[in-house]
Amino acid sequence: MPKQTNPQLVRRLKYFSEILGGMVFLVGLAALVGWQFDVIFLKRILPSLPIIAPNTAFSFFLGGIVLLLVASPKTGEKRHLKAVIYIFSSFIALVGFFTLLEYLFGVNFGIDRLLFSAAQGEAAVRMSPQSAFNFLMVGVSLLFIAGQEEKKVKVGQAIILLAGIVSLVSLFGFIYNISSFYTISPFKGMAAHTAVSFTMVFFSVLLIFPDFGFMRIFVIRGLSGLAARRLLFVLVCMMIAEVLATIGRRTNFYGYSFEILIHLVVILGSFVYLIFFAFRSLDELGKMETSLAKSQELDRSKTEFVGLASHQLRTPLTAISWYTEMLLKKDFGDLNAKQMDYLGEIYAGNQRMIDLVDDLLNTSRIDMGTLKIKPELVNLAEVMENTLNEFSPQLNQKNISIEKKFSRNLPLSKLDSEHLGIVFQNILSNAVKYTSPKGKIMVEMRRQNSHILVKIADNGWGIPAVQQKKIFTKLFRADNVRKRDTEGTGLGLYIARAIVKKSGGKIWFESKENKGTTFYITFKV
Amino acid sequence: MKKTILIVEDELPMLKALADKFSLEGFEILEAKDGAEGLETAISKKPDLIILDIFMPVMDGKAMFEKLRQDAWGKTVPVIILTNLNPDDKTLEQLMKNGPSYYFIKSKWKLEELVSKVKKELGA
Repeated sequence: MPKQTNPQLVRRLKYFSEILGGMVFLVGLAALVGWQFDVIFLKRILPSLPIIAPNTAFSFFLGGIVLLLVASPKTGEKRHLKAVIYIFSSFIALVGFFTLLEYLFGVNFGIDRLLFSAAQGEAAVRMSPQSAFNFLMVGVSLLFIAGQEEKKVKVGQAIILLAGIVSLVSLFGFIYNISSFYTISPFKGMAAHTAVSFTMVFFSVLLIFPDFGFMRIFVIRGLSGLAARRLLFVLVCMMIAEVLATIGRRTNFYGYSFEILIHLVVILGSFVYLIFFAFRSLDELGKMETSLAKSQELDRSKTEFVGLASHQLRTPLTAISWYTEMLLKKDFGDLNAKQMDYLGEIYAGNQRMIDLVDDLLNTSRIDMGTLKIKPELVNLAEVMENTLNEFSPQLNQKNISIEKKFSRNLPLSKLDSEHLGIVFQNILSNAVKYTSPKGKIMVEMRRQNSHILVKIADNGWGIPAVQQKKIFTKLFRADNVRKRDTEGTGLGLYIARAIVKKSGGKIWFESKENKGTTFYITFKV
Repeated sequence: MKKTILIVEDELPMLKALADKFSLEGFEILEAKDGAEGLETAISKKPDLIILDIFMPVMDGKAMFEKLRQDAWGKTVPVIILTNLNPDDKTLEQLMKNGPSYYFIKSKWKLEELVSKVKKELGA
């Protein structure tokens, strides 16, 4: 079974992805403004650094829009928005592709000066080869991500990893002042804000569907997900600390020896944290395993005990039942009225015990998973008639009327007739028990498409609205019936639902307190 | 002539109840307290019908049924299985293979109903 993801975390990461997408859009827009109005800072940040090319700026501008559109849940149904996503993504990929061709074959397609033809005298208006490669990757990745299906998103994530590596290497080149990391000579290098923007695109794409692909390991619930998140957190902290340590030295805040000290402290600190985290998680895992094994063992022995006890209980109960039956039948001589009355009480009480034992047995079989359904072609109306006949003494006693609506030519259904009888019995017994004298019970059976619908409705006491969720729970009894009647175990509906489910059917109900309850069951024809 | 019923049952109260009821209904009764005794009695006395418990010491009902069906006479004698076990599928499958006339969970049936099934089986 796939593990559950943490929906709150998924939502947060998606939100973060949208923010990154928005920032990419803004960087692109700012650089375009820089080109339009010749603002140097917007084009290259520092005079010593490479310039951001117009096509790069425009591609980021489009990429940001695509990221925002893919992330938005409103996009899903709208065709024109989907078209925008695919057109923009393809455009980004094509810009990268043709620029790469220009580098590879030393040609000029003239695409570099499309946006700002005068280009204000700048020599290097073509994006760097790394940027061209990255845009090709980003464009293709976005095309896959836009598919929004797990398989496609996985491919998109794999492709964006390539762009991620290139942009991170360039980024480190700027931080550590290694120009060969962001320049492939003799061509111009990647601009600093380009490297940052690609890094943002990289994370935005990864986080846009955090519950898909390999990103899933970070949002999974439980210890494994926690471990992945913690380790990632340590990694990020280490990187930030390392980068800050280097920047501090480069701005002459301190010297080399102090920088090395910081590096050491960061590495040692991270490892100490990891040692404690690993110990604590494995310790907890060990505890969880033992307690799980214990509770399973306990559960098993409990249900086995109930099963065994039920078999043992049945034998003496049967003996009492049979001897009482013979006496009541006056098989071996006459009895007076009082004796007959008392024997009747013994017989009824014993019968209750037998029913209880049956319920316990069925419950333990359900819990142990040994409840076996032996399907055969069954006439539901016949089973229902037999069950109703069993209830005739109680119905007469309480003067409850039965209305039957069985449609003719009810098709046969492949079910276990004995278990089906138990289902009807448990629901009807509640209907009889929890309906006041002179009440009414309606039993309806009809075909509904490929199903047979069984409807059992009473005008009895009903189930309180607040407790309706719990009525199929084992041993649960609603407050209103608990007050009026002490008989009943809270097992009947639990068993009924388990049997219906196991038979491939559905069971549900509607109820209003003091108005009545209607149970619906459907089986396949 | 009175029809004969062999009751194979290890629980004495059950055995007594069944024996009393069926003799009252006019049957000749043979009793056995386990499968081995039941098989011996069945083959030597050849009853008209056998009521058989499953869970018994020495030889259980399943084994006795199996052996009975291997006997030339025992192949066709009507057998009613009477038990308090809720058999798992396997036990039931093996029992059904040997063709019992009925299969009853004791606690779910009245003696009266059992009598009428036996009478129907014997055409009495």
